[in-house]
Amino acid sequence: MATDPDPMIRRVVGTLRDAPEVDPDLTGRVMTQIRTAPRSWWLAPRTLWLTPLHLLGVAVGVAVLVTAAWFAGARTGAGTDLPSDGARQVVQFHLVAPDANSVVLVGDFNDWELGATPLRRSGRPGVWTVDVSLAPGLVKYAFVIDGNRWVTDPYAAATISDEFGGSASYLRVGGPS
Amino acid sequence: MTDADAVTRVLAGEVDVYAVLVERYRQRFGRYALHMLGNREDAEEALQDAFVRGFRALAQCRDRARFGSWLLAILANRCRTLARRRARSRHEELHPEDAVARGGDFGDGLAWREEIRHALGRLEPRQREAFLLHYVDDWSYEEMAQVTGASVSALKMRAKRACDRLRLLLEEAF
Repeated sequence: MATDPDPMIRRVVGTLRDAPEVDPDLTGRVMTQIRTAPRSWWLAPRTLWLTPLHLLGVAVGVAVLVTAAWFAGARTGAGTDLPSDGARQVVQFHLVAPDANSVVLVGDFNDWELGATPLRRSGRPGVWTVDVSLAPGLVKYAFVIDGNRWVTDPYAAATISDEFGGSASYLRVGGPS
Repeated sequence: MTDADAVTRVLAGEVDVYAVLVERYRQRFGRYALHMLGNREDAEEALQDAFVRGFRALAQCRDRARFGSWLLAILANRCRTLARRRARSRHEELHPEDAVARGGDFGDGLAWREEIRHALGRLEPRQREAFLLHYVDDWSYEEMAQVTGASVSALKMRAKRACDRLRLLLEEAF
């Protein structure tokens, strides 16, 4: 238990730990919202609180993301020079992980499902690879080594922290003709 | 059922199992949200929102055994967002000139609680967050670093400053 030698701080902590009970109905409300909300909840109308400073930040962020993603197509471990599949494009992902027993690819395209897209050992020592058919646009992804070690693509130009405490790499599939 | 088991079952389609996780963390995280936001209504709104967002993003919970830490990161973000919004629209909640019933001696439970609430509201939000996570919820600084993205040294400094400020404010009050 974290303690502070000051008796007043210890008393404050004791008082704060003795917090009132959270409404027991909260669990029911959460479950109701989960069951009834549309899957595409992020498209639902919501109030945005923006100041001119926020707008400037958003503009800079978008510019950085688009620029980084543009370069990512050329420099990342994910190469897009394979044959395209109609509007989709086959992307080859690589990761150098000589000590790994397994490597999987997770991302928006496979709902971050650990078992969906395993990489295979390539002909080069320590290099793992997989080909994935992806729709054009920005793709967020990461590699998982041995089932529990998440790593970003060291060659991706864009790697961004997400609000869930991790990081992901970005790749731009397709581009202006 | 462990957190990892529950997360795995929810991701496999057993949506109702998510209620186990909500029940498990409701009180502890509700206490954190209450002390961060200063009132029950906002705390329960932030908590409910965090649980729903957590469900929607559950596939991104990379270490399923550490679901609690992962969800706390979401809740901390929701509390920061809600606190900023409330500070704009209801300035009195966290404003230093908040009119609070003063007086009472050190042993007066109601006055003591009110003074603590008032003093917490006067802390800089990052200091309040560090104090609550470390001292009230017993998180290690290393765990807090994972949740908040701040360095261990920065978190130690925030917690220390929070203690110093709380001590000063409460000594003034009593």
